[in-house]
Amino acid sequence: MTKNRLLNIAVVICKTLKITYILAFIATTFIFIHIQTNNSQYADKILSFNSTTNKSTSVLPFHYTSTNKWKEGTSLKDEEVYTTTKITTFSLYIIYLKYVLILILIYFCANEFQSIVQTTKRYKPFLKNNVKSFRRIGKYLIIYYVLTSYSIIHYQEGGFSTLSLSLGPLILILISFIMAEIFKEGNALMEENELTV
Amino acid sequence: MPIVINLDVMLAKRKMRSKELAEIIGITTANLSILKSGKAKAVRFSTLEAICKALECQPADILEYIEG
Repeated sequence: MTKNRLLNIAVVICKTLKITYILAFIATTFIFIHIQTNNSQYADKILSFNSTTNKSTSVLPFHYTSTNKWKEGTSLKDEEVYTTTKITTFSLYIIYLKYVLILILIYFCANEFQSIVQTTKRYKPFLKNNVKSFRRIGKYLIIYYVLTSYSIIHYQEGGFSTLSLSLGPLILILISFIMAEIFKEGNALMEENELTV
Repeated sequence: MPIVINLDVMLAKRKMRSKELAEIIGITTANLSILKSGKAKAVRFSTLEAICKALECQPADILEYIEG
């Protein structure tokens, strides 16, 4: 496979991802509005969690889930507490904003990666802008990691929280910052080469 | 940088234009301009040799070290 064909495929993938995220954003917004306007349709949608606290033994991936009911000792079943309709409005807005922010961050990551690939296609990969792009991707992934690792949902009669730490995004963050440093060195070499007469 | 390029002085002494020199030594006028303005980070021995040959001078006539 030639270099340009591979890069063209990467650009197409980035563009497809961007379109997908825009559509996902629209779908999320639609679902968010629909939950609030047509609340009755979601009355039977039960979100089942393990009421018991579970903890994995290995360091990473680490997963911790906790559920609790505000009125302890009452005979409320999980099915009565953890329904979509009983999520508090504030919690619903937080969930919506969180997912929208995640979609925006992944969109920005795809956008930055596309610009890096396009400069590589023009045989000028070691530009200062690409160094900045890799650093930005790293920063976006840090925010993404924070947003995706912790989740909390408040219900009218209970709450659910989860902490999930995985190794994948951490490796991606590390790779982004290492790539930024490599491209920074490449940029210094390119400038030196260009200014050699 | 404390290294100063005195190419302008030598060109004036030899009554030669930059474009003419660039053509003789086989580099672009843009690169010669980088060299003249002191923006260059390195000079190839082959370029220096060609400049000295074209201007009939020594490397020391073109390059000068000024402290400070």
